[in-house]
Amino acid sequence: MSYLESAYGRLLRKFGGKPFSSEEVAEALGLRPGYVKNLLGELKRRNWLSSTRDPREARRVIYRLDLAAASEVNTDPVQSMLGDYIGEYVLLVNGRIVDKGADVQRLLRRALKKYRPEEVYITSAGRPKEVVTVGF
Amino acid sequence: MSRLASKIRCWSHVPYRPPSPSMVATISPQKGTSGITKGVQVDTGFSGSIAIDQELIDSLSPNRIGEIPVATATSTGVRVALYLVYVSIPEINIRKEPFAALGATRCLIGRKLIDRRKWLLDNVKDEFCLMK
Repeated sequence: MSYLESAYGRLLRKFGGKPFSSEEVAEALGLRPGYVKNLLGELKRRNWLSSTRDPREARRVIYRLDLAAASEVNTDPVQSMLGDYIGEYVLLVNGRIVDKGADVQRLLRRALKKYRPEEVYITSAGRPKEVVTVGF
Repeated sequence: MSRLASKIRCWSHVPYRPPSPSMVATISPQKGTSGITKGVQVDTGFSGSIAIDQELIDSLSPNRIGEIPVATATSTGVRVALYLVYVSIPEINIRKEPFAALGATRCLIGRKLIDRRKWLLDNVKDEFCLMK
């Protein structure tokens, strides 16, 4: 297992599908800020992590593990946490998987019956079995 | 034995070069709000429901509700954002229904929105038709 796979597993265990900051990673994993910056950069280069600007503070970056990368990171922690969901679209609420399905639209409609749109986050765990194809 | 099907509704192709099949759709960011009505290209190479372009995202500011990997003509696993939009296409009985729209370079209607229907690309009349 490479150090990046190990880091992905540790971050998955700590944050699941929840967004997090680099400071939270440093604190949770007991790492130096400089090392965390490099680590998050490496994970991002592999597309195992996405990042967005914090809408409340533009200078701050918010990260989120890309659960779709779980197919590439086939380690024990990943299997134990996502094994039942691999190949499915998943609905995350507060970073926890609360529903799954093969169809994004049906998953969304079920989600909107229970949750507010701001609470909903849909992604895939690993590569979806029914991947959307786009001609462009 | 020949089978006949009659056209129930046709939309003129949008004037791209070459002209492309299209349907008129109203897209809004929330159920109760008015949206933007435009001719949206029907792309049978797109297996999803609906895609919206950056201009529409900037105009409507829809909720971003996720990100999924898609397969394009040249790559697999391309990450694309999902936005919550409400879509109306009255002619096919879609009225303010919620969709997870892909953020894309163009607005598109995909196969999933017109599945279980017969349709015709009438390139003589430059029309896209749904059949009875």
